[in-house]
Amino acid sequence: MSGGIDPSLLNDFLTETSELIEGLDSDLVRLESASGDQSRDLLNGIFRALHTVKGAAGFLNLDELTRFAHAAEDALNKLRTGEAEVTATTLDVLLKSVDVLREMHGALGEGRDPEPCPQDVLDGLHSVAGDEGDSTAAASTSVCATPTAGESPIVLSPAKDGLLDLMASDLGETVEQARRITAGLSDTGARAASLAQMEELLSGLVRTLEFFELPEAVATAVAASEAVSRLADGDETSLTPMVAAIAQAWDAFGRLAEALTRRSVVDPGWARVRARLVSSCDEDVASEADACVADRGVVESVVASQDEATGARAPAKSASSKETAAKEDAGIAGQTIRVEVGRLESLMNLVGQLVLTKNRFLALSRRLREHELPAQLNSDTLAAAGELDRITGQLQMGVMRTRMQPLSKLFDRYPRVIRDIARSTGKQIRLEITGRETEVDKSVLELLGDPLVHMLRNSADHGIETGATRRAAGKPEEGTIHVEAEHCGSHVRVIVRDDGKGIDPRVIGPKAVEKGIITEAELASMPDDQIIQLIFAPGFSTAEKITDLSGRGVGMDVVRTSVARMGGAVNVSSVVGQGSRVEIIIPLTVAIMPAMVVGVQRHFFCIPLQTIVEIVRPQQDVSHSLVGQAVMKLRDEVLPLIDLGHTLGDSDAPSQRRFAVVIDAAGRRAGLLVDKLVGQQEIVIRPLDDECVQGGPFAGATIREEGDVSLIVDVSEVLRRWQAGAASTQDRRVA
Amino acid sequence: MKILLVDDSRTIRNVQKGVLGQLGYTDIEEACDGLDALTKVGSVNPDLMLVDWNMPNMDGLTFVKKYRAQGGKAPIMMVTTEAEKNRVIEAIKAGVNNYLIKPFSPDLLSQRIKETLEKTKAA
Repeated sequence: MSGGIDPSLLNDFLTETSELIEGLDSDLVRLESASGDQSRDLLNGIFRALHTVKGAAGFLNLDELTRFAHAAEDALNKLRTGEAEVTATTLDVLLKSVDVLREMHGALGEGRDPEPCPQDVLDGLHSVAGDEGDSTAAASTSVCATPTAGESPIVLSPAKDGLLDLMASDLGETVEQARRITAGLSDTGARAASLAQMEELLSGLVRTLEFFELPEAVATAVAASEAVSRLADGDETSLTPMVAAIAQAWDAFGRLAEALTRRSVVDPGWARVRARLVSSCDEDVASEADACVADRGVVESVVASQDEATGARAPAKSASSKETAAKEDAGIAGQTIRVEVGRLESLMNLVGQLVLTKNRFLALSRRLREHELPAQLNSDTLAAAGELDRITGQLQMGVMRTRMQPLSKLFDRYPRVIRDIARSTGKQIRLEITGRETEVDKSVLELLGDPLVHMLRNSADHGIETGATRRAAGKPEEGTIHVEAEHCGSHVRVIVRDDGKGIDPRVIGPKAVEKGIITEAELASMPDDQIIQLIFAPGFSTAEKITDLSGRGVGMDVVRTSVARMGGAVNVSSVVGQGSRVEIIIPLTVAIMPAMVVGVQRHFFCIPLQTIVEIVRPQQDVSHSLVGQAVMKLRDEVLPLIDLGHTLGDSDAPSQRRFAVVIDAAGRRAGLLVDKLVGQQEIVIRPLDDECVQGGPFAGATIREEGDVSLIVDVSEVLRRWQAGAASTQDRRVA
Repeated sequence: MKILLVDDSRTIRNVQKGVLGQLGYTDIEEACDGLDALTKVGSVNPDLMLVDWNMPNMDGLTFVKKYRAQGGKAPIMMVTTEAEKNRVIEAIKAGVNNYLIKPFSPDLLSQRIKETLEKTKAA
């Protein structure tokens, strides 16, 4: 089925649809709590989205998808028109439908034919829609009756024929309306309004009759319309006969409507009706109208000239409004273009290489300075290098910005996640999101998606208590989860906090011992805030039973691993009974970052600048040894000193390092001892695939200004390893 | 022969463009909703418009009403779905010259375009 579709069209369709599906989820959840205008707008938007999916799918012959979207659209239509009510059950069905849609979409994306929609979802949709599919079909066939005497069957093209029933009943309604309005024509007070209404009805009628190719009736409607506009122009000379003539015209249209319901046309005496409409007015129009009666060809010219007349009148008054409208509306469309991600990726790669080359060029230009060169040449080279540096920086920023996406892309899915959990657990949970507009690099956004959902599920599933428990604890029954995002420097901070039961170190500790993550002795010496960090340890899960919602074998360690992969850190804090707070700090981008190049013996390493707090020269008098661990005193703080050489396996290195690079990973600080400071450089991170270094505390490799390859130090990993090492030496000491 | 396509779905616009291309109509402009169409229609000056009904910002019906109120004369074909069929009469009253239920075949589109142009030329 999908084999015959132009791949680029399918691609367009998939892109478009995935955006619509994203929107559907959040709109539906918002719908649950919306009311009045807001709810109507939401319903309209949702309907439109489904409608677009259906329309496009229809064109692409995606039958399963079309059929399903159609059913969903029907249900939505009932909700939109108020014939069905928005209830939690309805929303369940609709949200499930979005899942089905997403699955079908996914299948198409992978080149498979989508599975048919599950029957229960279809049934649910039909019950919302009140399933009227058959009754409309019955209605349209039942009208087919034989024409009565004096009538002749109407012959129309199939398209128009299909509308005839609708048109006939609409015409009937219009006639009823016109009769009411006609009564108002004789009333001086209501006349102006009635005339305006009548003119509108007639202009619609002219168009409808033209569409159904009923020239006699068209001519009559035009004549009536002219009569009405004469009245509107203040011609009251023959008011009473004119109103009578108009009423008679409507009677004729009424007879036509009746005949049309039998799929036939009738001549209720069009010529006579027109003559009356015309005779009550001035001479030349009368003769013109007479001519119409005589010749159908002329009728059309009357229609045309009338069109011209209104056409000539209209532009004059609407020209200015059109202009302002144009001004206002420019800027709504055509401001964005879609670019394939692959192109941006390759652009980013090129910029990365450019940055590296620029760095080398800068280094070269600095070396030139040390040589005996003409002063002018030297300063020119430096100026050009400076310029190159500046422009490359801007280019890098620019390209990076094209890859930035708002976190709302992730956040907008969460209301749905929370709602599902709330529904299935019977809890009341409110989700508050701030900082949706915070932008991060696309790669960060992708990597952040799963950890955040996991954290959110943890909060909703394990953190928030049931209504009864909360009430007993003196808390409001409704639990609240906040998701916040904000920029801080070159980082983004995302916080998920809840007012649930918190993380209890007295539960976590024994569990960790039981799982063999730490020993009893380790636990005994561990402060509470460190115990709760154990939830990030691999293989840790506190859920008493593994629920469907979270704890599907992956735990918070996945969160930490993913975040660490982005060069970020995750930190948890909690007050028992009051809630917990998980904070993720990640760099805005993971592709290019500034780093400090340091030397340890003959080797050079890069330490990401964002992890460096400051660099100090530890003096003998402030560096001490505490329980066998080298520490230094920095102002009021005592920091452990980690010998980078030792950590990286240079065991025979002299311990007299000259600099301490103070690093910070998720609030934990330490001094990294190094021999040399080379300087700050922009580094482009290349993933490591050499097995020799994989598993080491490295985040990747880069090419330095000098053209050599250096490893990038993974600071949080260094800290973690050091801590593990320190704990075991301490153990040995205790033992 | 210049045709203006008004539809919020890029996919549908592309499909329509493809079909129109097969039929030999290559001078095609696009608008993504009624508002967009209203701003473009003056400069594009199309000979025919294919207008979707359901669009954000401004729907097809409102667009047709506004366009006709400005004195716009170009023939308009409303592209609609089976579900919206009962509202087609409303569109016709607003000044739509023909309609087309999607999805449609190239043949049907071709036939409707011919039909529409012939009729409006005669008028």
